[in-house]
Amino acid sequence: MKDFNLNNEKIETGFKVPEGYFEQFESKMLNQLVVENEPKVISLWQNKRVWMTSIAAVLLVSIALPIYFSMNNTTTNVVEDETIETYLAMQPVMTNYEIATELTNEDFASLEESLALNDDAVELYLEQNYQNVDLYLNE
Amino acid sequence: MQDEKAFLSELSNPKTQNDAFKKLLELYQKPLYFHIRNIVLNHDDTDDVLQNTFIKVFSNVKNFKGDSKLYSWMYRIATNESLTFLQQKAKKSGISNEEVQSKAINNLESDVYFEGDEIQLKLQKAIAILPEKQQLVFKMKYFEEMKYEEMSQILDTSVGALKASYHIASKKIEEFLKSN
Repeated sequence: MKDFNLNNEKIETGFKVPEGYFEQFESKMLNQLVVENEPKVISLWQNKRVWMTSIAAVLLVSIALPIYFSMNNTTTNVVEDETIETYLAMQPVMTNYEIATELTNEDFASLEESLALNDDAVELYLEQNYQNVDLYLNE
Repeated sequence: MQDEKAFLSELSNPKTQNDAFKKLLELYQKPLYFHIRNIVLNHDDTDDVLQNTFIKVFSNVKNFKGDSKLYSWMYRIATNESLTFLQQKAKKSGISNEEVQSKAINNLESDVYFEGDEIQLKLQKAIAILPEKQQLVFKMKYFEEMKYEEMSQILDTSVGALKASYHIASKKIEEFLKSN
C-alpha cells in the first residue's frame, strides 16, 4: 500500500441513507409533537371526584380539629396539676411561725369554732395522751 | 441562524411552536443524522438516537437560556445521546465499548447502507483504535468539516487542545493505514 496522507485525498464515510428517510423522519417527529401538544381531556367524573375528595377532607378536618384541641386541653390540665405538686414538694416545709404570720385574728376565731377547742376537750385530750397531766395544770 | 433570539421565542410560544420545530427539523436533521451516524455507525441505531435527540431538544428548549448557540447545544445533546447509546449497548451485551465498536465496523461490510470500499472500511478500523475523545475530534473535523471554534463550543474544549488532538489522531491513522 502506498504512503498515505489524509490531507491529500479526502476519504468519504461511505454512509448512505435509505431513500426518503429524512422526509419520513420529519413527518414522524412532527406527528409525535402534535400528540404531545394536544390538550388533555379531563372527564366530568374526574372533576366530581376532586370535589368529593375536597369536601370529605374539609369535613374530616372540621371534626378532627375540635377533638384534637379538647384532647390537648385535658393533657395541659394534667400537666399543670403535676407541676403544682412538684412545685409544692420541692418547697421547704413551712414552719409554724410562718403559718402563724399568715393567719389573721378572724382565722383564729373560725379555727376555734370549727375545732371546738373548749376547756373540756383540751382536758380530755391531755388526759388521754399524757400521764402526768397535773404537771401542766396551774389551777 | 440569523436571529436566534426571535427563533427561540417562536419555539417556546405554543402558537408558533409547531412551525418553528418544523424549521428546526429541516435545518438540522441531516447534519445531526450524520454526526450521530459517524459515532454509532449503523443506520437503525442512528435513527433511534436521532429521534431521542430531537425529543430532548423539543422538551428542553423552554429551559434553553441561550448562553450558547442553539446548534452547538443540539450537537451536544446528539453527542451525549450517541455516547450513552453505545455505553448502554455495551452494558446490555456485557462487552466493552471497544468491542461494540469493532463489532459495528465488522457489520459495516454487510450493511446495505454502507457503500464504502476497502480504504473507507480501513479508515473506520483506524479510527476505532483511538481514544473516544480523539475519535470524536477526528470525525467532526475530517468527515463533518467543522470549524475548530464550533467544535470548541460543542465539546467544551479549547481550540488549541482540539488542534493538538486532531494532529495526534491523524498521525495515528496515517500510521495505521501505512502499516496495514
